[in-house]
Amino acid sequence: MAQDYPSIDEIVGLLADYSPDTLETLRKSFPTYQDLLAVGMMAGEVDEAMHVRLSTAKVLLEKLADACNKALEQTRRKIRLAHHIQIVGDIVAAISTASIISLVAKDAPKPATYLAAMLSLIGLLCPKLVKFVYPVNTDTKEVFELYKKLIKCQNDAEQLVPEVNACLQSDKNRDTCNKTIKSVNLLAAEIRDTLGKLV
Amino acid sequence: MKHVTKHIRYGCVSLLMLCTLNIATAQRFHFEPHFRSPHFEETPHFSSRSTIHEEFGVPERLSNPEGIHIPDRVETHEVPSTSDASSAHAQWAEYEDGIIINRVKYDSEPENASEAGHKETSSEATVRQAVREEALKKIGFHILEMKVSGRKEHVIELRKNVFVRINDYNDLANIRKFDNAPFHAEDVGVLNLVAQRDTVIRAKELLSANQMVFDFSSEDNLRHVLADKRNHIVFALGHVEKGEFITRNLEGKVEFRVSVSHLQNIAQDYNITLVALGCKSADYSSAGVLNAFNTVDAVQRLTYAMKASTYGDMLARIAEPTTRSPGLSLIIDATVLDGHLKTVALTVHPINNIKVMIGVIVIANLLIAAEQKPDHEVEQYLKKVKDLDDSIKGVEDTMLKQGAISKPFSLYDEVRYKSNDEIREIIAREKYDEEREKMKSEQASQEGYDFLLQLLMYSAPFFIPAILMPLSKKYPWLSKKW
Repeated sequence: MAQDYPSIDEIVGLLADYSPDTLETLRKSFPTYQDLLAVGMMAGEVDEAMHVRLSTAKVLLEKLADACNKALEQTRRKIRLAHHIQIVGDIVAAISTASIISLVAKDAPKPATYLAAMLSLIGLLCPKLVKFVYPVNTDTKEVFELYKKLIKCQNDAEQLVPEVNACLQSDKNRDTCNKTIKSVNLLAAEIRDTLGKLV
Repeated sequence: MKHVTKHIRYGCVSLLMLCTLNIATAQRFHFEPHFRSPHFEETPHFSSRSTIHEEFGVPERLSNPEGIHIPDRVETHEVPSTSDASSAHAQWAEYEDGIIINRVKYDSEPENASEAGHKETSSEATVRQAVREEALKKIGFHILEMKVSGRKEHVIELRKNVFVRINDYNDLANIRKFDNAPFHAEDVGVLNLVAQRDTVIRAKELLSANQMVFDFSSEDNLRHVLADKRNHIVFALGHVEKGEFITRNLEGKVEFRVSVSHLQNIAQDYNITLVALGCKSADYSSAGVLNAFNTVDAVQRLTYAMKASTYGDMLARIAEPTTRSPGLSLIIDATVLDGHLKTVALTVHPINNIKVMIGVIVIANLLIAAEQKPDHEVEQYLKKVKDLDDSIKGVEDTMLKQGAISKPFSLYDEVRYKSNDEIREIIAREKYDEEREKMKSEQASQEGYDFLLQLLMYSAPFFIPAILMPLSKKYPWLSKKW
C-alpha cells in the first residue's frame, strides 16, 4: 500500500533545487521510475521501488556536504561583510552625531562642510545597507541559529550515510530502511527550509 | 424643450448600456442562436420515454461539416466476436482500465438506455437505429467502449484524452454546446488538498487567482471554502487512496481526509460542478481522472487551462498528453457537463439580464433626478446672488428716479434660468479667481520675506564682526585661529 512507502519528495525537491544534473543522472539510471523522481508527488498509489528511494537518498547525502559547505561559506562571508558595514556605520554615526564635526567645520571652507554632512548621511545609511546585503537580522540570534542548524544537518547527513549503505546492501530489514529514508526526507526538508532562509 | 432633450439623451445612453451588456452576456454564455458555432445545428433529443416520431423524426439531410471525429489512439483493440461468452469475458479482463476496447457500431445501445418494461417493435427499432445513426453523424462523434474501473462504459472522446461517459442518448444533445461554450477563468476554483511543499509553492505562484485557501482543519471549514465558489466549476486536486482524498504532512501523518463521493455531495449542496483530480479518481466520481499523474504537473496544466477560450479547450489543456507527461486522462459524465451548462445558464444568463435591465433603468432615472434637483452648492450660490441684488436695490431705485438707468438690474434673473452645470462652472470660475488673488498676495509677502532674509545673509559678514570685535577684546580666545 502506498501509505507504507516512505516519501522522497523533499529529497527530490532539494536535488532539483541545488543539483539538477545529479537528479537527471538518477532519472537516466532509473528510466522506469520517472514518476518517483519527478518534483512534486504522485496523486495516487506508487511503486515501492525501495532501491530507487535508497539510491536517491544516498546520492543526496553525498551531495549534501558540498551544498552545505557552499552555503556555510556564503553565509560566513555575508555575516562578516554585514558586520563590517555595521561597525563602520556605527562609528561614523557616532562621530557625526557628536558636535565635534560641526565645531571643526565652522571655520572650514565650504567643501569641508559638505563632507561633514555627507559623513553623517553615510552613518545613517549604513544600517540600511546591512539590511540589503543580508536580510536576516544579524543582531538577533536568528542567523546564528540557522548557522548552527546547517552544521547540525551536515552532521546528521554524515551519520545517515552508513545506514543507507547498509540498507542498499540489504543488511537491514524493511522497517529500518523505511525509517532511514523517512529521516533523510525530513533532513532534506529541514535543509531546504534553512537554505531558503539563508540564500 | 430642454427637459425633453435631456430625457432623450439619457434614454439613448441607457439603451446603449443595455445593448452592450446584453451582447456581453450573450457572448459569454453563447445561447443566442446567432452566437452559436456555425458547425453546430439543432440536435434532436433522444428519449426512450416518448415515442420516436413525436420527438424527432428522421432528419432530412446530412449536415456534418466537421466530419466524424474518430480518435487516432494506438491502444484501440478490437475484441473479436466469439460465441463463447466465457472466452470473451477472459479476453475482456486482460485489458487495463482506460483502454478503448471497441468502436461501437451504431446498432449497439448503452445497456441502461432503454427503460425497463418498454418493448420496441422491430419497425420502431429500425427507425430508432436510423435516427441515431443520423444524429450521431450530425454531432460528429464516434461512440467507444471503454474499460473504467473494471466496468464496460460507453464514452465519446470529446478532445484528445477527454472522455464523456454516456448513460443515455439524451446526454449527447448538449455535448457540442459544452465544447463550444465560452470559458472564463473566474468561473473556476482550485481546491488544493495536497500539503507537499513543491505543489503548494507552485499553486501559490501560478494559480493564486483561482486557488481556494483551505487549511485542512475540518469539514465545516471546507464547506465555508466551497460556499464561496457557489455555481463554479471546482477542480479538487489531491492524493486519492481507496476513494478518499488524503492529505499527509511531512512526517507522513494524515492531516485531513474526505471521501471523493462525500466531497462531491458537499459540492452539490452549493451547486458546484466538482472535478476530482486524483489518481484514478474516476472510479469514485462522476468527473475524475483515469490514470496516475504528478501534482506539480497538474498545477502547471491547470494554469495553462485557465487561459483557454472554450470549455472544451480548457479540458483538453488539462488532459492532452505531451512528450514530457502523459496528461490527466479525464472522464466526465455527460450529465455533469449538461448540469454545468444549465447552472451557468440559469444562474447567470436570464436572471442577470433582468438585473442588468432594472439596474440600467434605475441608473438612468437617478441620473435624470440628479440633474433636475438643484444641489446644495448651487442653491447657496443663488441665495448669495439674490442677497446681492437686494443689497443694491436702494441704489438702483434712486438711479431709476434720476433716470440714470432705464430698468432695474437683476443678477439673479440672469442666473436663475441657467442649468446646474453652468452655475457650477460660474462658481468654479469665481473660486479660481479668488484662489489666484490669494496666491498672488501670498507670493508677494513671501517675496518680501525672502528679500529681508537675503539682506540679513549678505549683511552678516559686516555685522557679525562688529559684534564679535568688542567681545574679542574681553575674551581673547575668540580671536585665536583654529
